[in-house]
Amino acid sequence: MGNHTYKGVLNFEFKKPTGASPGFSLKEEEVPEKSSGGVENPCHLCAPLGAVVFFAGFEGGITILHGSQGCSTYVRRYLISHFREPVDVASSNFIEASTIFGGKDNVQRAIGNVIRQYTPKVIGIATTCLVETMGEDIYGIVKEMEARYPEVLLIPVSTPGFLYNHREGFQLAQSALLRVLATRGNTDIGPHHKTDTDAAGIPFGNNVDPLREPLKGAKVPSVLLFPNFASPADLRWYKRVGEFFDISLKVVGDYSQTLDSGPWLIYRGLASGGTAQETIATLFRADAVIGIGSLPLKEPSPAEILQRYTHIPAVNLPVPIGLGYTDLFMKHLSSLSGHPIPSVVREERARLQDAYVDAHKYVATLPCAVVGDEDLVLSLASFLLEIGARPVFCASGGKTGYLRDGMLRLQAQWGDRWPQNFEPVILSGTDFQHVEELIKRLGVRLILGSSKAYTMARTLGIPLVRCGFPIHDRFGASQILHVGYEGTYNLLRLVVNALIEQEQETNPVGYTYY
Amino acid sequence: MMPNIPDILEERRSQVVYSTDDASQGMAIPTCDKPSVAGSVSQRACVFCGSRVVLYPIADAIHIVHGPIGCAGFTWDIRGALSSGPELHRKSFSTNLEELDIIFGAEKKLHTLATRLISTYKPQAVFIYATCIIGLIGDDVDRVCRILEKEHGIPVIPVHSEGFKGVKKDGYRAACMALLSLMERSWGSVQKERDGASSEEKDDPSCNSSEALSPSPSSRQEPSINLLGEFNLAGEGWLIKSYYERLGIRVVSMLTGDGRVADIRRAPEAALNLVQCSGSMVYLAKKMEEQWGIPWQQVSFFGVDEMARAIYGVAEFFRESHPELLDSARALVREELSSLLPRLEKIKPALEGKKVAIYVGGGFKAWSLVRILRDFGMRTVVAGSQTGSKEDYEELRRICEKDTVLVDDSNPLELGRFIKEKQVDLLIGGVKERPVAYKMGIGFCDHNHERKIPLAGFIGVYNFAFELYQSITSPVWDWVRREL
Repeated sequence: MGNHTYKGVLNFEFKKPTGASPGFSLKEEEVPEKSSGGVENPCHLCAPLGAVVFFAGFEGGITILHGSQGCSTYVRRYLISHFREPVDVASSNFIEASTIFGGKDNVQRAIGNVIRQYTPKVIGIATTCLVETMGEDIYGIVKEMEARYPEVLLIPVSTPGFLYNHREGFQLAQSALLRVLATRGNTDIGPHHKTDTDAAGIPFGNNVDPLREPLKGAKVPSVLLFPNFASPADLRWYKRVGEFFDISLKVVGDYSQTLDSGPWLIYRGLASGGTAQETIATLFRADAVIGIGSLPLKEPSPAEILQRYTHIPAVNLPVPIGLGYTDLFMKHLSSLSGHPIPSVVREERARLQDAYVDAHKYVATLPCAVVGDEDLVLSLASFLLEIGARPVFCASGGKTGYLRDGMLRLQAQWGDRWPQNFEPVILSGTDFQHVEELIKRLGVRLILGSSKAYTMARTLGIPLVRCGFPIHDRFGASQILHVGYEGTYNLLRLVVNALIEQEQETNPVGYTYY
Repeated sequence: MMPNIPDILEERRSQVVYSTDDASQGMAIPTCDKPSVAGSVSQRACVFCGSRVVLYPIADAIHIVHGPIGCAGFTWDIRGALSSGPELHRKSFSTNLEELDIIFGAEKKLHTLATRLISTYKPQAVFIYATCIIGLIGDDVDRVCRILEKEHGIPVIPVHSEGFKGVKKDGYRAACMALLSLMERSWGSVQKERDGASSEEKDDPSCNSSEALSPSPSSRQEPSINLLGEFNLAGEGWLIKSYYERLGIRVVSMLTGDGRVADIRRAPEAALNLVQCSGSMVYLAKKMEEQWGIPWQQVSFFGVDEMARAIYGVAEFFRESHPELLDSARALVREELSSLLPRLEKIKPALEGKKVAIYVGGGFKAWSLVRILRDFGMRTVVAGSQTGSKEDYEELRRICEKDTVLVDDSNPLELGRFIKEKQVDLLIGGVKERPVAYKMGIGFCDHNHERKIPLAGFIGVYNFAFELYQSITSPVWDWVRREL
């Protein structure tokens, strides 16, 4: 550890540039009529869905969506189609009277009934558009319930679908967990008191030690990782990497088992696994924190919140896809742990380097489009650049600026290695109708994106490599590994084979060697 | 009672009946038509969902979801309702309301979007669904619709489907009203004339007089029907239609499978309405009877007996004017059965005696499934629905064994409990029920929106049996229980 002096969260990606760097250009599409005129075939979903996924990552974790029944059912159905696993989500079941008299009773009954049925340890209570429009005080309502159920961690989170998408809702829930822990009396974070109030109006609360020093010396540190909206396979990879550096790396909100479990034979509602109670209780004792793909929202990212409370080394890293971003991730763990990057990791890396060489001619200068969550799109674009393809078009339903700023930084890092005359088009807050128009205009020949891009890919006759969320039309979404050297190799294989397959199928000769 | 399985919630006990013999305690059928209990993890959806699924198959209309993004995103291309032509229904249009829209209202945004979409896609009609928050922010959707209708000369119909205003059934009703309003544009409204509102109808630009028809007695004598509540999932509607057409019966309109606005507007021409999927369309049938004197029959296209009955019923109805129909109907059924039954016999032995749990959306579906399963020699040991009516549960009680569990508005934990208690071999439901079955290591059949193989009609009986057979006889149920 030694010399780390962290003055604040090291924001790898989202430091706002003061304007486009001279010498570089990114085409940013302005779509005025879209912003005022609605959406055709959306690229994003709503915030409560993200909260549901996050809370599913806790031992005994479940979500109540505060609103009408439809929201929870739709979210469940959508997630079940992706994960092929039970995703029980409760609802406070608003009815007409609740919209007039308030939904406090409904929330209280919902919490009681969920506890009776599921004996949960963590309940996320996420708001829907309806109650946000009414202006329900979810924090106040839940506060009153805390005393009644001391054995359950109740985490209210405001997730209006009209403000945030699913990726952002996932992050808001991560931050909400830390806020609740910091303001609850029973969190093991020391005796100091602080009563600042942050932007969201929640008091910083008791039991926060603002003076805590990072651990020094050879002691094995414990590292917290707040993941991106990752696949269960990705989460398992994050956890395994910790072992390589002999550190205790905990994924906070670990749904790698709860949303990808074995047979139950008896229906219990909640799968075993998930971030354990002990981990939650000691979150503020961690030695370092890493946020993956955290977006610049009004609410600070989980790494920022922990850093503000405990002054531990905190960093927000891009999703580790491709050599560059995975190297960054590995180097950071190496520096935190004081261990060199082990040979097993170097071997994986070497195999990926070799694969880059073997694959380069299949993909060289290939115009690609990437569509999805902002953080995923940035990392996929970075990977495509590394293999010599051209991510000519990067699009997301999100619009926090993460993608645009990340691409600018990427361009700056590449410097004169950046392909000549290459000006990727960045489109934020978009929909598939517009994406389709641009894909046609830009002559894209391969699309990386979720299943929702299929309709468009089919119309245009362009191969689609499915990644991210949701994967509704293929089997085994949970097993898709995107991250690390192995994940990158996996994506490379999918990309190259998609191209070969299309070439082979349409080639009149029918070559048998490629 | 069962280790590790929590008791059924107190507030839900009256919605679960273990023995229909227990009439003395007033427990013969589950109580129903109640809002879901908060925190019960109901499988139900919302009013919007009800409206959306009923109107969804209308393929030459555009469906605009007025609300924040979720409602539209989750229902994009959600049903396998096939179209023989345009596929506008498979697109997802949303006003994508954001914070400022909610503060300042979004009528203008709705108008802008609808105007753009109408000029791009040239639809025959527009349905505008009002979701939860529209009910709160008070956008006057009706007014926007009237304006759009005047500007573009096509029907622009508001569908009031605010999610919190009830359950899925209320959404069906809202959809039926939208369909009715389409028909009234061509046929006028007996009701409204009675109420003295006919003058307004004349101003309706989409109701030009050349198109407006009046029920003509001659068209009514010709054997013609509408299929209400047939959504053409996996092409089932085409199959059913072909049976009637083989008999020389004209199918005027399918509501709403492979739906076209013009066909729907023509629906009151038909002499008879067949209503399948009672939950969604009985209301419309009653209204059409009231308005234009069209009688209706409740039918099911699932199962040999039911399908045959649905054909004979129509032949019977037209017997006076067309006595030959009955013979043709018999010939058709005989022909279909001669190819179906031998194939069915081959797989039936594997199904006989197996225990099935049914949990579906409407009660009608539940009891029509119980009947088919009985034909296969299978036992229904659990039968439930999200929104069954008292009549549906009475019928279930009548046709099920007396120790069959009957349940209204169930949830995953309860279903898991019933499956264990009753040693169920296979669950029939939709996507949300699937993981309950699979996690418990039993078979499953999707009898919902996502099916891609027709389960209706005569061939559907075989397909259904074969799907049950494939799941029940799979070796995976053995492997899933094997210890290392």
